[in-house]
Amino acid sequence: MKTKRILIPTDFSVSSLNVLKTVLGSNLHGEKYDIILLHGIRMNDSISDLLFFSKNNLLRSVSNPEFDHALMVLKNKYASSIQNIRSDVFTGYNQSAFNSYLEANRIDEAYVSENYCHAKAGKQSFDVSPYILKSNLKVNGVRLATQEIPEKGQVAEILLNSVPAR
Amino acid sequence: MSTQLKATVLLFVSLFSLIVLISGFVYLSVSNYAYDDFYKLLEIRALTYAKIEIEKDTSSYARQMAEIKNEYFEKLPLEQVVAISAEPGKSFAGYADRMKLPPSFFNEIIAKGKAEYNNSSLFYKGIYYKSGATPYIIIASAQNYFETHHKAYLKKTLILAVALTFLLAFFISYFFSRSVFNPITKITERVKQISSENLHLRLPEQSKGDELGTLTRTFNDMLDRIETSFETQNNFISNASHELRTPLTAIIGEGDVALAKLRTSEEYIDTIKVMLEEAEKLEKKTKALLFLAQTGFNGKIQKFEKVRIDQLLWDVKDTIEKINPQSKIHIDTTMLPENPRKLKVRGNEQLLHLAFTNIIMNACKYSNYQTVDISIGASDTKVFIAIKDTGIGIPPNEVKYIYDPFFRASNTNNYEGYGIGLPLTQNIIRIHGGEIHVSSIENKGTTVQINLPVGEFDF
Repeated sequence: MKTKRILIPTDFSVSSLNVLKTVLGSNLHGEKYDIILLHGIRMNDSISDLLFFSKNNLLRSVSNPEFDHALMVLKNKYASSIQNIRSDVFTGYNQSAFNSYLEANRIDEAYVSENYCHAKAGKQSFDVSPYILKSNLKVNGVRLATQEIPEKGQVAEILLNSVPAR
Repeated sequence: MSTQLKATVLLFVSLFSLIVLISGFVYLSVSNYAYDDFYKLLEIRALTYAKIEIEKDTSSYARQMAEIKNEYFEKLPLEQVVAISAEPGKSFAGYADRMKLPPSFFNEIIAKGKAEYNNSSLFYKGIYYKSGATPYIIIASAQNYFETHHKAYLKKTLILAVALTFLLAFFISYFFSRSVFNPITKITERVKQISSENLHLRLPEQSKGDELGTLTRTFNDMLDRIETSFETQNNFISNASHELRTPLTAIIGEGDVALAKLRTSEEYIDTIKVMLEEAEKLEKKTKALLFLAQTGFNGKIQKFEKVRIDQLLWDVKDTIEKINPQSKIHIDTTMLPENPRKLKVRGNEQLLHLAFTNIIMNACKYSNYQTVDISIGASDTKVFIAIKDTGIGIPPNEVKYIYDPFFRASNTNNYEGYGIGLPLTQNIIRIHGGEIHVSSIENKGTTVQINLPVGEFDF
């Protein structure tokens, strides 16, 4: 079976992984996914920053251990339906840059939460969902439960959150 | 030898030896240069003399030289130029004797063409000069003005400079090391004053960013922790004795009342029943305390083996449902990893069983036996267990005290408990290298997240 490459916007909070969990949890046909978690960062255009640009360092600066562990929990849970999963940063400024990003990475589909408000992981972070919605990509909306829970932001959130009906 | 003295001496010695070295270098190089210069001067004198005196009739060039010499050459003190004809085989011993020069001086001139010699302040330069076929030895001599005057002055200046530097270096190193070590001495004095009676004392924090500021802050942080643990210990003892005394008082009271007069056998049975109940309570409490003490020690080695967390939790569920049949526990298996190897941790099964029983029983108790959700998941390095209830929660300002022994939140008055369970659980989780996080919203529920390191077993 062909692997489906999907794009999910993330803000490196455990809550944002609920979208991923919903997607993987509703995968009843045993499809395989190649997942890209995309985070938008406005790059500083100074020459020295460009010179020392490293995507790994950038990702490390916005990520956090809770998120990494929660992602690993999901990865272990859905090991058979995940071909590959990686985080990526989008540093473009406009829609056409985003469109070429989609083309370059051969994205098949995107999943966007309809009611989750992205937090700012770093100073220069931005939400890529508007770009996704404006692109020609097939976009699936996901609704997340939004009640107040004590375990917000911990790995427990992803453990306890039961998959909502789509 | 104190560090301050050591630093003073080190600084002083290095400063002083540096100055001495520089002075020596200056003295040697200046006098060397002056000697060379003077010998060159003498050589020019000798050459001019040769041109003027020996070849005086043959060239007009010699006359011009003589004019220049008379006009511009400065007369050196004790200047004297002597020309000696030097036919091969001639002995210079007589000249040497008369001019108080060593014979080797003459030999060197014959052999090398030139030679230098100095006798205290008198300097000699000899050259070998050939005019036509006749060879000559020309010896120019003069008193070196530098040697007689400047050198002594230079020596005096340098010695004075070295002496001054000695004093200066001494003062600089003394005050420098004092200014460096003064704050440390102050800190030491201040710390000496702090004992178990006045643990509230803190070091004054003056400078912010430097190392001493950090040292002061570290000391103060340590004192904070020591003070807290002192207080906790004091509280623990008073709380423990209070907890143990309550059932004892009840037993003694019952016994006193029963013995006051003769009773019927039913009354005795009732009294003994009450006493037994209280004694059982006492036993439970001492048992819990003993466990707390045992797990608190790091010195005791517990036997660690392979434990599968999901199995353990099913066991715990069975145990709790046996103890209290109205408990509703739901173990959510949707997040279990596909690879069961990731669920195995290295641990002591009895202790972990006790820890999870405590947490889950609390969850059941404080939610009035509504459903408690348990979910298990594993990342590559840790196993995560989340226990969620929809109970009374913990007031936000009391969350930080929940691990203190005998602490009970202000909203738990309707529930029975001693406040030993959570500290005990924390101890057990700590022994296993794990972490416990309690997050709560008052009146909505509490979630306990426990993570334990994965055991890395092969099967």
